[in-house]
Amino acid sequence: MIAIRQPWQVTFAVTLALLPPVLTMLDRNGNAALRVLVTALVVSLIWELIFTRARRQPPSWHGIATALIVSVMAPTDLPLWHLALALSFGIVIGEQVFGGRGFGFLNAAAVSLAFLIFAFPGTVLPEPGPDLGYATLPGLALLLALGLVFWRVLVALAIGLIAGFAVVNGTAPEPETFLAALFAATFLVADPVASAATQAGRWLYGIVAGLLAAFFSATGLASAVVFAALLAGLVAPLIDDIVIRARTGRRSARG
Amino acid sequence: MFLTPFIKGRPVRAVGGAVEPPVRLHSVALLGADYPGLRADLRVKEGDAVVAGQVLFTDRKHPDIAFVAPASGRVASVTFAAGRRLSALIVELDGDKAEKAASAPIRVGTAGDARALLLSRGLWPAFRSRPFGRIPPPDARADAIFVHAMAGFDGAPDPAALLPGVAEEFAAGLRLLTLLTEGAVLTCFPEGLELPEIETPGIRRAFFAPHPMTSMTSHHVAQLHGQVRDRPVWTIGWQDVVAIGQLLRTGQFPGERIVAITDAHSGRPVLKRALLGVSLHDLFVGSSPPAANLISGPAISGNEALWLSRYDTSAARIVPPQTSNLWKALTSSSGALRPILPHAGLDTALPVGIPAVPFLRALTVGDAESVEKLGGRALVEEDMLRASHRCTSGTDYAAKLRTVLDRMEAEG
Repeated sequence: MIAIRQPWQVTFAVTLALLPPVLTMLDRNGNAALRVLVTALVVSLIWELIFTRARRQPPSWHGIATALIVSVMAPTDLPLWHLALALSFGIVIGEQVFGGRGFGFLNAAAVSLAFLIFAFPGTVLPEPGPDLGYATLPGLALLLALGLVFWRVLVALAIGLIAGFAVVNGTAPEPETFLAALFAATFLVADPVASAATQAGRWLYGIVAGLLAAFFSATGLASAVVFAALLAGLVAPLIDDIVIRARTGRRSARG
Repeated sequence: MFLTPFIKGRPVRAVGGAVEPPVRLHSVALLGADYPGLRADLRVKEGDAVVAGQVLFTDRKHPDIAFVAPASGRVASVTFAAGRRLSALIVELDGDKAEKAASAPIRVGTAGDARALLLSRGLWPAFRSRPFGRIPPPDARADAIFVHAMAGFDGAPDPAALLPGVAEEFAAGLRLLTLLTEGAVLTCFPEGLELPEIETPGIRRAFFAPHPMTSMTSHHVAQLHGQVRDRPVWTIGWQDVVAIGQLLRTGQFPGERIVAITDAHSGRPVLKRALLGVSLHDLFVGSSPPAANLISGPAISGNEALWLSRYDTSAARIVPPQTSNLWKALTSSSGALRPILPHAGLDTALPVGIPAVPFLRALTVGDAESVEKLGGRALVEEDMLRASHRCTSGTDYAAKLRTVLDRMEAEG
């Protein structure tokens, strides 16, 4: 049994889980990918240090994980200032204005990627291949073992995807679709900070994210999951509120 | 370094088996921290010789509630915290040189007798009421009394191993409890515990699976009783019920308790015969490594103390982890607020299926309304132990809960 006691331990675990996908991406795209990775790391660490200094907080160093997630999912040929602007928006508006990671309710990487697509029309996230899915598996296993990813969210997401595809296309998604979506599902949708916080809420949240991802999938799977994660994250607090109201109602009806 | 394993403070299962006699005990203390809100009216002064069971102080608000000496000795010091609240009353023991009064059984016939006996003889503070976890006022009504006899996961002595040896006193104690409530006396045992059935109306038994959460009193109250807002309950530990039985049998105040002690060095917990409020140094006398912390209660509570709390039956010695200065500079949070990062370990940290993250967030900001809505009224400090231990925020949720409970109590 291993205990998570400190925010930086979470960052460490998530970063470790991200290493195989990052290496896969570097292996595939070479120097172009390295350039994106270094820029992303520098930008996110600068913002994290500025804000934690100003608040006299200990840095959680989670900017590293945000930078790695964005580097894996962003196109490698994008202008670096686009990347810097998008990451700045994601980290500052999606995370630091709330007080840092764990005080807000959004995933900074999802906000950054959504900003990239909206603010710079023409930006297309590359379609992830099954190799990225395979590279995600060891990290997913680690995060599940540490309790930093909730299996309920992932199972519900798969259910939502299947249901959504059935409605939109009338067919079930290919097995490759799940594999391709696995990276974004693990690091964006199943982010414990963005997910609903109640057990029943996690089922609902995952299903909502899966349905949304299926509905958006015509524009490309990667951006579909990004927007699904963002929108599901926005309704997660509402989902929790509904679950808690239902629970309170049950308790007072019984007591 | 990374991923601190539980090993130094592993939440051990309850321990049973042979009870070691104590080494010589030097002092005991009554601690103000055990009785939140208490204003002590002292009946002794520093230097006074006291005998076991002698009244040391009473509650100014309820003068009938007596707090007594666990053993005979001399009042070594009385210290106060801010606002003249008692900090600690320390009794230096004399090894029972004082002559014991002749033992004579006590007969109790009526409810009034039962209350008067426990109040005057110092066993009333063994009760705590829900909601709010306070010593009940002398005339308070209990809709049920819950006797906690579970094999906890906190290293407390295992009743399955010890109760059969004192079954008669336990039964006598339970019978007295039935006089205090119009409701049931609910004894909560671990599954598989074998004890002769007590044929007294009003005493009910319940068995719970050995699991950290099902061994909590909050779980028992939620399962067997329901809400406590309009139907308050009292709770008491099995050793205190045995003590009531002993008082009835001998007429003398029973200050002895069996305490389970866990040493991070030797690892295996052992049982020792000790006293209420015993000095932890006396319990761990001998192999004291430098930089070890003494803990009253389970090791994970991190409750560093010099004396055993009135309500604890376990103690631990842990060695705090060593960290380098560079590491501290990179990661430490000197008093700054750290985030609550949800993880699966938190989801199982609270009893009664309370959703952990919303509840801990509400506690952190002191949102009494949400705490109430989520079922916080029925909880007490012990319920927050695991959450405090597992949460990345490092917040002492027991203290936060107490603040919110105080507000609820004031607002009614």
